[in-house]
Amino acid sequence: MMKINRKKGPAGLYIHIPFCVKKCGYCDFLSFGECDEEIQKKYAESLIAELSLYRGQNIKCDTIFIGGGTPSLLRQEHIAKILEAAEAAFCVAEKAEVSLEANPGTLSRDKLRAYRKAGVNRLSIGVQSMDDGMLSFMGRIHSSRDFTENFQAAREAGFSNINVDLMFGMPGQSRQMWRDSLEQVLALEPEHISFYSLQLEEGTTFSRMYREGSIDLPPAEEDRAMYHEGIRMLREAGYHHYEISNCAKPGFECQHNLKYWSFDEYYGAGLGAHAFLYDKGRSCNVSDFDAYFQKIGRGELPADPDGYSYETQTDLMGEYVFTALRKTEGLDMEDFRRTFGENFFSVYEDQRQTIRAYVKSGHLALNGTYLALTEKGIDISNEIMAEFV
Amino acid sequence: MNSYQKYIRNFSIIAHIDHGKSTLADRIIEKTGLVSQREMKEQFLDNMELERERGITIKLQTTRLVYKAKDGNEYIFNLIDTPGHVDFTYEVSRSLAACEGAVLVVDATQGVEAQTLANVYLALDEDLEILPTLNKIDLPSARPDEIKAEVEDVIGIDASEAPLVSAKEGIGIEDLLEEIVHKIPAPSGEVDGKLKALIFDSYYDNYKGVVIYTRIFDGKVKTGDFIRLMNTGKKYEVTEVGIYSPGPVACRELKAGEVGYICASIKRVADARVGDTITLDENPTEKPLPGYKKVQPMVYCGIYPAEGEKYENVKDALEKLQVNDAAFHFEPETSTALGFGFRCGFLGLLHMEIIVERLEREFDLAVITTSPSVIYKVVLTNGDIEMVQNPSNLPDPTDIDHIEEPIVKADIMIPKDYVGNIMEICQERRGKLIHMEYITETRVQLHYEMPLNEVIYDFFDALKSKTRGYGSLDYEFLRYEKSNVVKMDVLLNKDLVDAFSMIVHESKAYARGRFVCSKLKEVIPMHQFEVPIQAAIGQKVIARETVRAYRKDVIAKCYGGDISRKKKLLEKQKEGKKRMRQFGTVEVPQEAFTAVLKYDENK
Repeated sequence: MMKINRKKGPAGLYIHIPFCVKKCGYCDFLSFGECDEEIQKKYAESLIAELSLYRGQNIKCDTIFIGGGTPSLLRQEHIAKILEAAEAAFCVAEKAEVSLEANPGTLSRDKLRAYRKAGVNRLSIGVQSMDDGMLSFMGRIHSSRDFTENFQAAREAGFSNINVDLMFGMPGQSRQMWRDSLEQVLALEPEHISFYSLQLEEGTTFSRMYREGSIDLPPAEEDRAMYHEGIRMLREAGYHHYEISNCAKPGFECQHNLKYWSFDEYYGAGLGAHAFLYDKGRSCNVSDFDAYFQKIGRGELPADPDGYSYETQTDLMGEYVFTALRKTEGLDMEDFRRTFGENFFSVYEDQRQTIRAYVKSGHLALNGTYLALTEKGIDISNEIMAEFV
Repeated sequence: MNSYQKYIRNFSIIAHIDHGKSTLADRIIEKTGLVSQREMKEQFLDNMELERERGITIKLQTTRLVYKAKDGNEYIFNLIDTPGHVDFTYEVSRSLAACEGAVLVVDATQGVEAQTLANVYLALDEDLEILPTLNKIDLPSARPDEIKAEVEDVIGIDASEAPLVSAKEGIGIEDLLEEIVHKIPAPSGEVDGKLKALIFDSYYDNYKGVVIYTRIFDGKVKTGDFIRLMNTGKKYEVTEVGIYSPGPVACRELKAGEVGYICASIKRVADARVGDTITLDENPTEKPLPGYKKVQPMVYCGIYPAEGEKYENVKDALEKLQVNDAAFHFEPETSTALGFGFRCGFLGLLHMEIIVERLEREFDLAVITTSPSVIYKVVLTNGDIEMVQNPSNLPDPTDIDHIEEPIVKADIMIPKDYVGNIMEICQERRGKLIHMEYITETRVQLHYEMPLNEVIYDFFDALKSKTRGYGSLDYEFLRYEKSNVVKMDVLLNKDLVDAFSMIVHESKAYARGRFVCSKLKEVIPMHQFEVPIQAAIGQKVIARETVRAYRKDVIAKCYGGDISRKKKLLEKQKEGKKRMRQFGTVEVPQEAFTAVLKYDENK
């Protein structure tokens, strides 16, 4: 059985909005295109009911992240009421980070002002690319210009902490195209930039096209070159590369996402939302609308009975390691010991040789009590992380 | 005739699938007041969840009803339900043998179908009084006069007085009940004669052992009697007799003309075979009832525990199913691809699907089924004969003189507009048209002789798909016939996956090979390396496809705190390394095994 000795800090709260105008060609997240206002309204009401179930438990929380899907698709009143419900149910810290994900094409000045007023203080805008041809190929509903306008409008509405999401390693994308996109985004000086290498997920349009041979991907070396070039450009522009796919101006690291990588607790509300609590382990909500509405209707937490993963101490340790290794500062072996009451190297006795070899080859670095992937190590991060699961 | 027999009516309801047999049975039960409407689950007699969901009756149900007729007398109705599918023809024929009459339900919108006819012939074989009844009369598309004429033309029985009912709406049920009283003969039989009783069904009860459903023809039976089952020759002491009304109600004795159940501490359903005759051990009847046969599986497939499922659990479940199903056979087998599993024999495809679904639902097991196969008669050069139902067991080609495959008589009934389509799919499946007849101006019956091997793959799906669901099929075994069949293997990344091996006719091998390869290409996930998929006969590759490599050492986004995917990916990477070391092989998802069997309209 699991045993976590770590002291509880304030938790994070993730709120999922599973609606999009339409599904992008590469996306396999839990989100549905073409949903009418009726269901969106019903969903927002259910979310509010779900959040209210946490009332009276005095749960401290210092980050809220409204993700999707496309949360900015919802009417602004819904967002305001959802946040109101979250604040009524949880003890939300005064300086809590409150993020909202938005996609260009669904934003307006009114909405942006309303979000600020409702307490959103961090905006995460998914542009993915600044190349209009690429955007349309990806199935995005906006142009690069829509994005630039939205970004400026967000500044005018008072957002002083903005993240921009980008993707690389796209079919037909050259290194030059990637540099151009990144440069144009850097010119706007966002506080935070996330950059993800495209992954083909089974069941997506992209995956099907790739199988059929109608699209190709840049070769692995090219993909890695784009990654390292991206990091170089971001560093030069004054960003701190703090997680495999995330860079921020100092002090603007995403506190919510860091909870995922730092073994902190988080609650999840909404369809398919995941949670991690020391006394309950990992769980997730049902991912079917009817089941969700039914459970909420009965006043129950909409947890998916099959979503609980029974986890042994070993499972939890493995998770601790591979999530911590995503941070460039790496894994703090001292914190590991405090958390599990065991020494890192006695738990991973069998891996000692392998770790040493990776350190020697320059893929891992030992730094005081910290063990971290080097930039070179990130290229084979899965191979290294797999050693610990 | 004894006086009590005058008030008994033993009858079945026969119909084509979907013509509303079970709903009608429900209404009759409701009308006779046995079960109140509130207690009435829909389709009372279909008590397996699966049956209710699929709308078909698999297991027989029997119940005794009391009907107060307009003549003022109370009648006992023994309603013997029959399974509604071609795989269970023998069971149907035995239940009919237990009756004096049959209510023939015909859908007033669709008319006579292949199975309607097949069931009518079975009933006529047993000399039953047939009571045609038109159902779904409430539908606007009902054509009662036309359908009555059709029944008279096609079946040759008088339908002028056929009750018009709607089981769904409860219309006309009273008329039908009166017809049953007046038209179906009462049973006869000597109460003082030697016991002669027919087993028409049985099931296993955890407390009582096997419960036999029986119709007493002569004599009587009570608790404490020693009975003998004439065909198996086994002897048992009766522990209980009773009737179903609708739950079991013990009674003092069962006597000639009655229908009820007998328990006698019998351990397996296979020991109380349908069609066998029960008599008293001390004072036996001379001759058993006619019509007994031991049912044999016609279709075989492998059933294997899916990844993460335990062999023992599957074995336990199969044993439990077998206790209740004399027609289902299984024995252990091993596959290099799938490990330890079982070779299972079924009456037909539906029977197979039912067993697999029950494993999944009632026992919550994840299983993989391999391509179904028929039984081939392999004549060796030394004159020996081997019966082979597993492609992997086919002897070396040099030892084989020739192979014979089972041929069935397939009767297909379709609206005439589809004749061209259907002849085409039958021809593709090596069917030989014996003759074709117009049942009515718009409906045609095609009589084919076809290899069973072709029927079990996807024929039924193809038939339904090509006739928008209007086609119906009935088939029965005819004979073995010499045939040019070959074993086709499938290789993934150059490794033979025995679970995909199948026996096909030489003329079909190339098309089948291409189909299987293209289906596998769709479902096999991309690996770090290219995966060639090949179909081969012996050493000769006859079809090939390739799954593209997807080499990226991905950096999964752990979105919204969902680390489970990333974890799975890492675990897989770790596992994959192990597995590749062990077999150097390809990951094959479970769905691949069913995908290669599915009918594909566009193929």
